[in-house]
Amino acid sequence: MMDQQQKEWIQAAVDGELDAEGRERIERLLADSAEARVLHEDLQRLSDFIDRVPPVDVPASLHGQIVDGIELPKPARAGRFFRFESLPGFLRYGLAGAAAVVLTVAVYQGGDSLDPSAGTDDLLGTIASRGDMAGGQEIDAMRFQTGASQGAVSLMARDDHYALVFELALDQPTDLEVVLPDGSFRIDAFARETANPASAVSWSDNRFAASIQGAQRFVLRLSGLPGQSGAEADIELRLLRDGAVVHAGVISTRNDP
Amino acid sequence: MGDDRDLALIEDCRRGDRQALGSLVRRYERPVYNAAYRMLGNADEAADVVQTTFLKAFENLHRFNPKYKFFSWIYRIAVNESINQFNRRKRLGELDDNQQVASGPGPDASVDADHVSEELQAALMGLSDEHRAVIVLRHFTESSYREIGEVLQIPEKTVKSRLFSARKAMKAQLERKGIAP
Repeated sequence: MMDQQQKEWIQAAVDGELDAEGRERIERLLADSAEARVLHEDLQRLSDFIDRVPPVDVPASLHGQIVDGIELPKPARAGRFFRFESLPGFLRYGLAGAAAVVLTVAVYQGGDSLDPSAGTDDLLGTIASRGDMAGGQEIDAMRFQTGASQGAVSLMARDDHYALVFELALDQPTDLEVVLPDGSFRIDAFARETANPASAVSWSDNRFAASIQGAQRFVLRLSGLPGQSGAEADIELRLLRDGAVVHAGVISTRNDP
Repeated sequence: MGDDRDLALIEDCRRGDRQALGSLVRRYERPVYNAAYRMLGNADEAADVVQTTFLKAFENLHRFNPKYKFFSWIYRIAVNESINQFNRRKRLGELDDNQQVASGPGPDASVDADHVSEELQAALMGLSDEHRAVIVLRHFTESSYREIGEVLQIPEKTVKSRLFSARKAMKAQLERKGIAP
């Protein structure tokens, strides 16, 4: 009986995604296992069937319609942009406060802005629809304030997944780390509502890291069924500046009824 | 895809060069149109999605991070737009089991290979958005696992497992229609 990883190796072989070592491993598996050979043949046939379909032709008029509809951006003028930290203290804290007020209002209005019918130009995240990402029942939450920065993190239980919703207003460049315990569930998708150029994200199955400054709202979708054993987990969150932890906390699925 | 060439064209577009705009659109209109067509199964809607995709990409060109590939960015917008369009159509009640594929002749309707294309499209439309997107990106834009991960912003490991379940669902769809690929 093959495990899921072996099945995905076979798929990778069909897709030409294996290195030399992987190809040798698959050759051995195919030589030893009739089940592997059947799966390989099935996947190859399906792949060939899909690839038999020729590409569709682009309507002749489309190119002109696209190009005519686009106005190119004007070149940026020197001195138009500024760095947040270069502002005088009173203005910096004022701006951070204003961002926090805006975010707080958004939070207490129920976060309707994650509306699947809204445009997608500011959705620099996953294809997971924003309708899927919003809503649910809050089972744990964490709020923090450190200096002029503040934020809220809510863990929402939905029918078939959890969503970790972040609302942040950070006055200085801050690193965020989210760590899921091994063997609990995994980060399945990520979506952010606002395209904040002062942020960068990366993640693996059980770890998410972001460098953020300014106001931002984003969501991590965690796969794993709420209420099932094995899906209970304490999720660690840390905020760091210049490598030093400025806030740390745990948010837990254990409150999920 | 030529990342350096893309970046040079983007820089020229930022300076207002419309010839560079034409080249960049020409480079990606075909794969983006094919992806949208396979996501939606409708030629008119696919053309609308492609227009919207390029429009949004160029309106937000100042947000494009050259650390990432231009085609990942544009495919992501196209996939999101296609899903939004699909959901709008569903909300308007225009999509039922009988209309899923017969929503007007596609651009390849007169070709003999049309039968395979139609059966494939019907099977695609029977998949979830997530499954359809990975199949379309893999087979109609020829993206690698890593590139699919970049487009959908999911880890490569998730691409592999999602593609595997998508293919399983696809096979089941085709078998239900009496096709054994």
